[in-house]
Amino acid sequence: MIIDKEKLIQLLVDKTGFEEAEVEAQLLELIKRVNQAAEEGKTFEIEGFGTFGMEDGVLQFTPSDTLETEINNKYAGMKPIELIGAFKEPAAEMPDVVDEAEDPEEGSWTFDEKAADEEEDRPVEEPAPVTAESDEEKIIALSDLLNDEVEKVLETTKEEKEKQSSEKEPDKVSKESVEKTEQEKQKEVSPVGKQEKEKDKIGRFLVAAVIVIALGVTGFLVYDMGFDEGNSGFSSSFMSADNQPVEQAQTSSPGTTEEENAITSAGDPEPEQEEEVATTEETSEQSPYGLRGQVNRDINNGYTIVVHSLRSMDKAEENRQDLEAQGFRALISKASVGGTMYYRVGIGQFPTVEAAQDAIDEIPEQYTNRNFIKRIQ
Amino acid sequence: MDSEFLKAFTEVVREEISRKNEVRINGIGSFQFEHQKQYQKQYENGRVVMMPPKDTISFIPENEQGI
Repeated sequence: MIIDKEKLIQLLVDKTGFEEAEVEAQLLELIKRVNQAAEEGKTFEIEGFGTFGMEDGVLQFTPSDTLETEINNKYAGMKPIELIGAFKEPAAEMPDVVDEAEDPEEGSWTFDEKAADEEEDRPVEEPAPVTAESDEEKIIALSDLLNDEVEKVLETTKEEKEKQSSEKEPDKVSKESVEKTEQEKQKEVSPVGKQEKEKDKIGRFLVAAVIVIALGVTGFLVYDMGFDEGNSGFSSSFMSADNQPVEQAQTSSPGTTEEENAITSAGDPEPEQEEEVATTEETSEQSPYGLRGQVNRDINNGYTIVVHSLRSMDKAEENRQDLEAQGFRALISKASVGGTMYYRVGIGQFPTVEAAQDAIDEIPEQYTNRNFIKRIQ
Repeated sequence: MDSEFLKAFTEVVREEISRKNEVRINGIGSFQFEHQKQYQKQYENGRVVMMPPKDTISFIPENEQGI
């Protein structure tokens, strides 16, 4: 609202109690005095109000201190705040940055007891001690805080505008905004504190996560290797089984060629284990199986290399003893083929077909090409 | 000049400006309310301070030429 001459006179009448004519006359007098002084290059002062003067050809008015303070009642006593987080490299920018865009909430101000007479270039005391330890940390913390400030600024620009429009209403709003100011002050302090703590927490959390992952990998490796050994040990013990008694039988006449030369690789069902190979030892000390040595009666599973298949038990037994004399494990098993009973002389006891096949190289040459592998039954 | 008048004048102007009203006196100029928002001020050495917001009374003369 613009208070024109009429309204002014009216207000003055209410204030002084003078007559309207009187007030008008006084006002005119005032105007005259001001202009007169300006013309002469002098200043005209009204006590408790301000000074009119001519400067650079233009009439200027300087309010008195009392008036200034009273007008600035809301913010009187506020001192400039040292922005530790906003440390910027001294650049070619203008020193006085009056940035309209950066307009954070005006509620974050703390009131000093001493009223601020002047601000601007007067060096301000350091309000809060700097918490960062080294210079590097300071700079990092500063730039972080600056970013936070900027964010806050951008966020609260809207709020500021809304506030501005509402501020135009009369006095009741000023009370509300004072209350708001205090609340926002408190809010301001806590998020800043929180953010500082959050940064520490994040760093620590990362370190802990890395340690946990490292432990997990190590544990997995240990478990993995341990599993292997357990597995192989397990498989070796699985192999030991009962042995079938070898039958002693009469042998038929020598030279009869009733041997079956078909080399079959286990017409029987597939061997149970193909992965874990319990190494087929030639010495019977370590493993129940083998090519040589004593026939292990405890095994009732496995394969043998059949080198004689005879109708006569005597013959078979004779061959068996020969082989035994040579140091091989020789055993006889019975098989009925097409109604006829055959007696088979087998060399060695092996856990798998492959093991038996590998051992073929070591049996007497005469049998190398005339043998087949059969399940021990 | 009547001191009482001046006192009253001061008060009236002050009150109106506080209400964000403009006081126009033709022959002199007009007094206005002005709000200055808080702003960051950077010094040469890189130091940055936040200047507080301010409410001020400003004066705009009626005529710009020298009287």
